[in-house]
Amino acid sequence: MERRTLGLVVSVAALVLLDLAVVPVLGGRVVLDLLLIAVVAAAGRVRPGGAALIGFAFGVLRDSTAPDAFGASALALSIVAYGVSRLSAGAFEERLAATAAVLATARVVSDVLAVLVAGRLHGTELLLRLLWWAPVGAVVTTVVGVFVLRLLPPPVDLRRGRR
Amino acid sequence: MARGARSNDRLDSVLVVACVLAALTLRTLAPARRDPIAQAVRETFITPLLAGQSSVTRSERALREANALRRATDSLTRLAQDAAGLAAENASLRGLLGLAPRVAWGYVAAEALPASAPGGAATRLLSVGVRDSIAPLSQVVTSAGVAGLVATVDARSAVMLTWAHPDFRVSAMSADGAAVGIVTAHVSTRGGEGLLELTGVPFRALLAPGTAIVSSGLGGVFPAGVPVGTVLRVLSDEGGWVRSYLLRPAVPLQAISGVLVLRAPRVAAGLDSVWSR
Repeated sequence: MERRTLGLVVSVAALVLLDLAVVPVLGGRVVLDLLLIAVVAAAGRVRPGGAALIGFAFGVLRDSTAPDAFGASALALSIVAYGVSRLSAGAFEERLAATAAVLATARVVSDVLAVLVAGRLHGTELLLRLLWWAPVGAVVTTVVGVFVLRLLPPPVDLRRGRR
Repeated sequence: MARGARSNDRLDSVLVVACVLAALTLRTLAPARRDPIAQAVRETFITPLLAGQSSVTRSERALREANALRRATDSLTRLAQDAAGLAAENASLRGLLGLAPRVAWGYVAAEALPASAPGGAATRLLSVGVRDSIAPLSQVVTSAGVAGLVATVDARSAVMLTWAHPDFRVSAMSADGAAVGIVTAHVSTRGGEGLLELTGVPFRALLAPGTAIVSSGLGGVFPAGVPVGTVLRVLSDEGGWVRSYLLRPAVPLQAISGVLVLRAPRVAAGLDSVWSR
């Protein structure tokens, strides 16, 4: 495995590990979605089909910790990963604003999809989650995600060979 | 080339549709089928991570407990400091319990509370007053000796000058009666607060360190024989006629809490044998 690819795999694995082991301990409603950052990072570097598979796998991991909504995160992250890979082809990471926009959109879309598919929230609680906590969580995830994605090897290197 | 790209796009579409269908299938599974899958995923991938999670949890708990421990330590330290004061007060009260039967009559027991006003270290507020038949210049003693004098008296309280007050005076002598002088509070810019001075001692009467000094009864304020302090060293010899001595007080300031206030008839009857036992 090429050194840069190995670095990406290790980084993504670290993000997944942190998301599953550390973030729940921190608590709070504004969840920093490191798993989504990992999905976006991987999706920008593989073909859309592979990105969907990665999103699905990571989603199943997350769903296994909350079986009541089993499949909701898998569905949301599959679609988000496919969309990120299809629309951007990794090029968004070259521009800061584009990176932030992709991360924020991905966070909001995945949150909305997961909440709606899970079907556990209703009424005021659902509205509050969709209209307040999802955007706030998107801001937090975007700020951290932009920084993390800047540390990873450029997508074009991995997808098409070095520039 | 174009056919290959189309083939890849078709594969991508198939994969994403498969993922969506699989996710929807998982979502619609009955709990009996869903739970074993979730459990298998957890045991395979999540459980190893739980070790890390528990480490983080333990660290967080350790931090919280460290804060709680620090607060507990602070509380214990404060209790320990208070305990020293309580022990001294306890000893003082025990002393009073022993003193009272020896004085036998003509006294009233009182609590001496430190004044909170600035410079109030030399005065105490007594929990007795006119109703207890005490009057200004009543003598205040503890089991160790002279504590001070009553300055002013209200109905239920009184203000006491401790021996550390600049206005306090007591006529004193060595226990064998060889040297006589006046005891006042020792005021020095070079430290030594909390000590007494025995002034006006005739030059020929040399007092060795450790000599006990008691009230002489001269002047009629304090009865004779009440311990005042012990000699520490010569303070000065003024022109070769008289000497001054530095004394360690018989009653430390911090020990003035529980006291006996002597009434006039008791003082007039004498207290020679009370402290000489």
